[in-house]
Amino acid sequence: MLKHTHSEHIDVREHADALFHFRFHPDYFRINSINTISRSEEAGLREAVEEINALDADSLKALYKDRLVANELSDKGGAGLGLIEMARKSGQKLHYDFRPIDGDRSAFWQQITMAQNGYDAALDTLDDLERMHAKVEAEDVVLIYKGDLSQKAILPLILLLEKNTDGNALLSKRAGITMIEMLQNASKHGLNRGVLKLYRVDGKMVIEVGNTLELAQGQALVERLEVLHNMSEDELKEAYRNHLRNVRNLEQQTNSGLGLMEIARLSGGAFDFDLQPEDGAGFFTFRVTL
Amino acid sequence: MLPEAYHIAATAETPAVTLDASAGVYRIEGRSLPENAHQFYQPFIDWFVQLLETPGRQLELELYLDYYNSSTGRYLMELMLALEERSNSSNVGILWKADADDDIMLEKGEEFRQLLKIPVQVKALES
Repeated sequence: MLKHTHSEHIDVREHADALFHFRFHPDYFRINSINTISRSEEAGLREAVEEINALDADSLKALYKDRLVANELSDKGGAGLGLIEMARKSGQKLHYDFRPIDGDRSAFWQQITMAQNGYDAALDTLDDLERMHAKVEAEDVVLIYKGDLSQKAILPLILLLEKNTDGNALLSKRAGITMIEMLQNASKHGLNRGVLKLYRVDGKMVIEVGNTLELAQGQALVERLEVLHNMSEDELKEAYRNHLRNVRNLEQQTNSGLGLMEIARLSGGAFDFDLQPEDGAGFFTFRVTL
Repeated sequence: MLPEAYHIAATAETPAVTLDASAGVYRIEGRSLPENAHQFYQPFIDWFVQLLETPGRQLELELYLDYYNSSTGRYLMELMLALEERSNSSNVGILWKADADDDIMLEKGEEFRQLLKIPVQVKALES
C-alpha cells in the first residue's frame, strides 16, 4: 500500500501527509491511506488504477498472471501487482484521488470499503478519511488507536511507536516503556478496550490513553497519581527504591503502583489525568508528555 | 524436579534466557514486557534457589536488557534478592550490561547496584 511513495523511506516527519487508517464497523470494513508521490508519477498511477477498476474478477486474475509472468518488476514494486491484489482480494473498486501538495508532489488518497451487504454508494465517499486527515494535521498525530488493549494488541502498537520517534533511540525507549506501562495499567484496571493517541506538541511526544473502568478503581488510581504528582524528583526516586527494597510485599495484581512511579519518573512529572463518571462506571484519561 | 538447564529463545515480549550450570552460563537478554512477569520469572527464581543449595557454588548472572516493564522489574529484584540471601560475600555476582548511550538501562543497573549487597557490576558497552 505504501509502495507508491516519493522516496524509498517513509519518514513521517518529512512526509507529514502519510496516513494509514482502517476501521471495523458493524456494517463494513474500510481501509484507506494517503501518501506522497512525485507529481510525475500521477498520470501513470491514475491510468493503472482506472485500468484495474474497469476489470471484472476474471480479467483481474488474468492480468495478475500476465504481469507476474512478464515479470515487469520496476524498482517501485511489482508493476501494479499490489493494486491488482487489492482489487482482487477485496472485490471492490479502489476509490482514489490526487491532491497537489506543491509543485513537485501530490498526495495519493486511496480507499477500499467492504460492506456487509455488498456495494453501498452511501459508504463510497472519502468523508471519513477527510475527517481523519484534518484531525491528524491539526493535532500533529502520529497514531490513533481505538479497540482492544489486551497484551496481544499492545505489542504491535509499541513497534509502531518505535518506528515513529525519528530515529531517536533514547526517546524511543522512554516512550516505549512509558506507553507499555500506560497500556498495561489500562488493561489491568479497565475493560480491555480503550483509546490510544500519540501526538506531538512543540517537539515533544504526548501519549494519551483513555479507557472505561469501574468508578471505584478509577478513584483509587486518581488518588495514587495525585500523591505521585505532588512528589519531587528525589521523593519519587526514594519511593521507587522503597518499593524495590520491599518488593515481596507488593500487591500481586497492581505491584502497588510501581508502574505508575515508573511513568512519573520517566516523564519528570509531566503527566496529568482525569476521571469522568460515565453510566455508573468511569472514563479515565491519562496523558504523559516526553 | 526442576530442569537441568534453560535455553529459551526471545519472543516479542520475553527475553532470551540461558541458565546452564554445567556450562557456567547464566544469562537473560532482550526485552521483557509480559503482563504477568511472575509466571515467566518464578521458575528461574526457583531454579537458582535449588542451584545455590550446593555450598560454595560460584556464579555470575548476566543481565543485558533492552528494556522491561515494571512487572519484570519487580521479579528481577526478587531474583536478585534470592541470589543475595543464598550467597556468601563473594560467590554470587550480577553483571548488568547496557549500551553506552542507553542512560535508562545504565541507571537501572546503578539502582540495583545501590540496593543490593551482592556485587553488581554495571558495564557500559561501546558499540
